[in-house]
Amino acid sequence: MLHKLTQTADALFGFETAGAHCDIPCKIYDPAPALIAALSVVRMMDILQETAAKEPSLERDATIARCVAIKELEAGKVKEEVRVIWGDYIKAPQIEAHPDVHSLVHAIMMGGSKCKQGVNRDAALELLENVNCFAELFWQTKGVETERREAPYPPSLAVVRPV
Amino acid sequence: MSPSLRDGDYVVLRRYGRTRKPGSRDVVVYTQPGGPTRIKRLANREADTRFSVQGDGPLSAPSVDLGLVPIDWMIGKVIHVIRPSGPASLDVETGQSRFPEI
Repeated sequence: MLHKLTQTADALFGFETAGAHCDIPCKIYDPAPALIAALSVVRMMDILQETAAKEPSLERDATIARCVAIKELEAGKVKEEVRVIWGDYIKAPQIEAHPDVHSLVHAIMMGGSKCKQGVNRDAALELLENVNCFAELFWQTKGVETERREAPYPPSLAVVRPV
Repeated sequence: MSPSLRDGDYVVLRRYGRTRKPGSRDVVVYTQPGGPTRIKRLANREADTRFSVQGDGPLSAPSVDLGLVPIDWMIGKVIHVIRPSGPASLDVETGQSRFPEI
């Protein structure tokens, strides 16, 4: 009865909600999936450019359609993976140590969208660089050293990994 | 804060003031400037004006993830919980309800 009355008052006056933040905090966070997705965005753009240069055919058009779909997916994955680490892991102590984290994440969100919308390789390279910087920041918060190593697959670009 | 608190519970707060100060084991509501409003249990006083926080559940996010909470952020201490099964008061030391659920 009291709960129902309180619910009614809540509906009328809008009580503030407090969260206890009990997402299953498994502590498994890793920017590696975001980096693989960013590399995939560059790769899809490269394949698109190569394919667009070929003679028009149904096969060429089908390849373009598939690569566009995968580019869309992978750019979305970059945004999602980074968003989850930023939203669930990055807290006051990490923000205090890295006050530029919000602007970096925002740049990644904007860059991901730009790569979805177009086929600009420079935009994809900028996205990868921003995700590399985010990965370095993330591992620094855990006191883990990192290095940049060239991925052993195309587009053979450097990505951050813990050592 | 499960199992002490559940989604949908309402809480009644007693505001801190000059004569009422936060202490370990208090369940408090606090708001981080520019951030969300949270409800957690105070653990240890880590500095003159800050506490570490914890939840009551085994999988709760602790201070290492949430950070230390300054007293200035705290709105008040939970003294009553209103839930669909009836009102309850939290036992400060155990975090258990003083009244059986109806």
